[in-house]
This record gives sequence, structure tokens and C-alpha cells, in this order.
Amino acid sequence: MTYFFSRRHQTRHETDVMDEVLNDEELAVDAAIGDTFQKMMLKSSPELFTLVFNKLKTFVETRVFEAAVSGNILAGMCKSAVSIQPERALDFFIPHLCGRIESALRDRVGHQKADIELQFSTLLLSEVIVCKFNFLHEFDFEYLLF
Amino acid sequence: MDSDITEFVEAVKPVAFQVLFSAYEDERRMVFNILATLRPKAIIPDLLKKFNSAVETLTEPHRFTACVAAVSACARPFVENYPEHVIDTLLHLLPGIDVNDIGKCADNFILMSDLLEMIWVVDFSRYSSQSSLNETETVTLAKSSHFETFVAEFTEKCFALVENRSVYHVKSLGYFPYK
Repeated sequence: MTYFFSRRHQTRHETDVMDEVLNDEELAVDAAIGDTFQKMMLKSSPELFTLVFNKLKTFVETRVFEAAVSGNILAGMCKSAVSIQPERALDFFIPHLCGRIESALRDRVGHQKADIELQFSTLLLSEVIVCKFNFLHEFDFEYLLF
Repeated sequence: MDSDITEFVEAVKPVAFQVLFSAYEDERRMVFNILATLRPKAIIPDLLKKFNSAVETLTEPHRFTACVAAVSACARPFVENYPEHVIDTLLHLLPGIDVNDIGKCADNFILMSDLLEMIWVVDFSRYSSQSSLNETETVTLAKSSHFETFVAEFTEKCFALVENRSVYHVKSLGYFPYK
């Protein structure tokens, strides 16, 4: 009995953060941030785009968020940057996120505690590579397939 | 007849501004959209006065939210007829991006999105003297120098909102100010 209880406890949490229910206003804000941010970047001059993109790079490099709410919003903002200047944005996002995923996978083997960072990086990568441009073949994803 | 339309808008205007702070949100949007499209010069200056006074007061946030929704309903005639006020309006909206009042935050984003849909976020202030421009164009071009401030502050506000919307705090990989 104890065995079953402890096993269940170890394999999943009773309350998952992904099950958090957001109210209508929160859902509206989450959608509106990405939409407004994309419009601002789309309408910006190249100089202002560079300013925003550099801030976004610094932010992504220095933060890890849960994937349910904040990570999702940030992934939408990164996707906006990729949809506007795909070459430049992917040049940053793909090496950075692949490196992070690789590092998280290494840590996971050793310590089994890097799930949140892995989830966050994978979420961002999955959003930024959803683009209709032909730049993705230039990047080597093979080492992630192990 | 044009004069009939002007007369109609002038007649309905006091009632419309009475509706501005009422609870009938859908009606408010519809009324201001129609009136501002018909006669922008009769509606928008007074609406902007109310918006600016609502921005300055901290004790009546419902007035600010109502004004934001009404300006959002008049976004197209506003940008077409009063482009020199658009940048100021965008800057006034920045303090409203705050996780503590998520409803106001949503209204602000909607208005920003409506305005950004119709303008270019480009600093044209350096090019103002190269050709003959009227007064409105000169002012608008001069004010476009504020776009850099707007873009930087808006990005920081969005990042702060993302951080504060987190279900639980994970970690920061060192502190880097975004400036």
C-alpha cells in the first residue's frame, strides 16, 4: 500500500500548474500582449526594431519561466520577432535555445531536476520554428534527437 | 445634407457624453464610433479633454477605463484627424499596463493595438525641415521623436507584466537591467 502511494506521489503532482484556470480578463490580456507587441515590432523602423529585439534577447537569455502562463506569453512575443525578421531572430533563438535544451538534458540525466527549464526552452523553440520561411534548413537539430 | 448631420451630431453629443461614464459599454462604443465617424471634429477634441483629465487623476480609475474604451471606439477618425495627439495618447497609456488591474490593462492593450494598427512607429523628426509642411504635420513629425521612449518603455512594461503573471517564480539567471 505504501509502495503504491509513494509511487503515485513520485510520478505526478496532484495539482498541475497547466490546469490553472484563468478568468476571461486574464486570457484577454495574455492574447493582447502578444498582439500589441507584434504590431509594435511590425510597424517599427529598423533602428527601433533593433532596440526592442536586443531587449528581448537579454530577457530571454536571463530568465526562466513556467510554461503555463508567463512562458506562453513570452513564447508569443518571441514568435512575433521571428515572424517579422526571421533570419535575424532565428540566428539568435535557435542556437541559444538548442544550447539550453542540451544543457538541461545533461543536467536531467545527472540530477533529475531541470524539467522546468527544459519545458520552457522547448516551448520557446517550438513557437519560434513555426514559421513559413525557408531558413530552418540552415540549422542543425540532429544533436537534439537523441 | 451636411448641415443636418452636423445638427444631429451636436444634438446627440450631450447625451453621448452622458453615456460615456455609464455601465452600457457596448452602446458607448457604438455611439462614439458612429458620432466620431460622422463628425470627428465635434466629438474627438472633447473626448480627448476628458481622456487627459482622466489620466491625471488617480482616484477615479473607472473614468480612465471608460475614456480608453471610447477612444478605442473612435480610433480610426482619431488617427486620421488628430495624428499629433496619437503619440501623447500612447505615452499616457503606458502607466496603465499593470498586473494589479488586469481589466484596465486589457483595455489599454486594445487601444494601443488599435492605434498601432494605423501608424508607423518611426522617428521622422529629423526629416521635418526638408519639405513644406503644415502645422499639424510639423507637430506630428516633431512628436515622433518620442517613439523611441515609447517603444523602450512599452517593452519593459511587457516584460514586467510577463514576470508578474508567472504562476510561480522559477529563477533569474542574474540581474540585467533592460535599459
